[in-house]
Amino acid sequence: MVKYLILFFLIWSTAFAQNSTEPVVRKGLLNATGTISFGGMTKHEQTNIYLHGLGEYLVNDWNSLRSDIYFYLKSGDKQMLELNHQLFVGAAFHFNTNHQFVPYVGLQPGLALTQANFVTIQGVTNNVEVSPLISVAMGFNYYASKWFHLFIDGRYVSGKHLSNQKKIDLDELRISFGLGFNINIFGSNSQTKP
Amino acid sequence: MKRIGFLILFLAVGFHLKSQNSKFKDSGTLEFGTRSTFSTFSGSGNIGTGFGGQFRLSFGKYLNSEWFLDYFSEDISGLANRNDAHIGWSVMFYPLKRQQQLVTPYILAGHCFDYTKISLIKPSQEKPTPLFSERWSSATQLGLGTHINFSHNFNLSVSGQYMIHLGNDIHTHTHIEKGSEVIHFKENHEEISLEGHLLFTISLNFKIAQLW
Repeated sequence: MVKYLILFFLIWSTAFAQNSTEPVVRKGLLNATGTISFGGMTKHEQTNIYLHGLGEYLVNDWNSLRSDIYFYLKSGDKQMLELNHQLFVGAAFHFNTNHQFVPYVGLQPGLALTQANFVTIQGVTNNVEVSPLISVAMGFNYYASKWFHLFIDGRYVSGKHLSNQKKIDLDELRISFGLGFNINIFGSNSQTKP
Repeated sequence: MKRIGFLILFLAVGFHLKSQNSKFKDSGTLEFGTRSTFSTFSGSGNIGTGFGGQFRLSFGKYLNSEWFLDYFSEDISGLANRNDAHIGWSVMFYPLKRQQQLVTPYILAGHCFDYTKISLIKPSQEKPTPLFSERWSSATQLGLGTHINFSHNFNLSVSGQYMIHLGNDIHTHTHIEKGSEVIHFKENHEEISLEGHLLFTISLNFKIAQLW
């Protein structure tokens, strides 16, 4: 176990030690990450916690096809929602792509699988709904090495859950951060930027 | 799971094939996109929000086609919930030549099949009414839109269109009972109506393959 840990950290440090001047953000770049995300609902006093996974592919040097998935874990004491898993598919526009610090903005339509956590009388249950969402994302990636990057992602999500008792606004301001993995499927020298 | 794998492989191959060329042709280009649609249904005054996807296949400098699927939900003033699904196609006509430019306006017209379900949350107690009603119908749509071309293989498109349903309308009425507003379905509402609504769509589209 200790050997594997040492090996892992050696590979890690080697990856970060590479000081390439070649831009990492190019057509063909694949980004992937998994992290924990925190969100504050803007129309209710509730904080939500999610497992967040994202995958992104750069179709050219600036634009990416990007998908994010949020697996709802829990909220505080006043948990309004029993289910609130969300999936987004959309695009992002990356700036400053000749450098390591690469900000972006994104727009992603999405869907949520939602269920309220209201008290119910016998024989009546809270309905499970598929709820359309739209989300605007912004943040940055810092490509510290050829294979890894640090990221901070913030987003505003808008939508509503139509329960069989009353609607719940799903509007939420959310933040994620962590370490991501990146690789270019066309190889490192297949293309050069102007 | 295998299907998802094939889809990812298909998209990856599509991107890889096109990576060899810097520009797509006007004809034979296949696009894939996701979209959000905002629907203002007639009568209720509420706004429905939708999520969907689309493929586009172009037929030349002036002609494109869009094949879409949308799912909507709408809160009817806290009294009922409305869900809609649209599956259909539109022909897109470009009045200007589709050269690579930032903005490419278009006229669109098409047809779709749709499903509607309305579920009552606060039904009337004095006027017996079913708790939900659903229908299948078809519709035709006409509108205007524009592509905003961020690059040769990615565009953001916005459009507005008016959709007229060709079938029986699900009609609801509201009234006050014991001081509260309640809702019920209108009985024997069999007449054909040209119920319409305005749709605004924003979509993100990626060119994935050159088919011919």
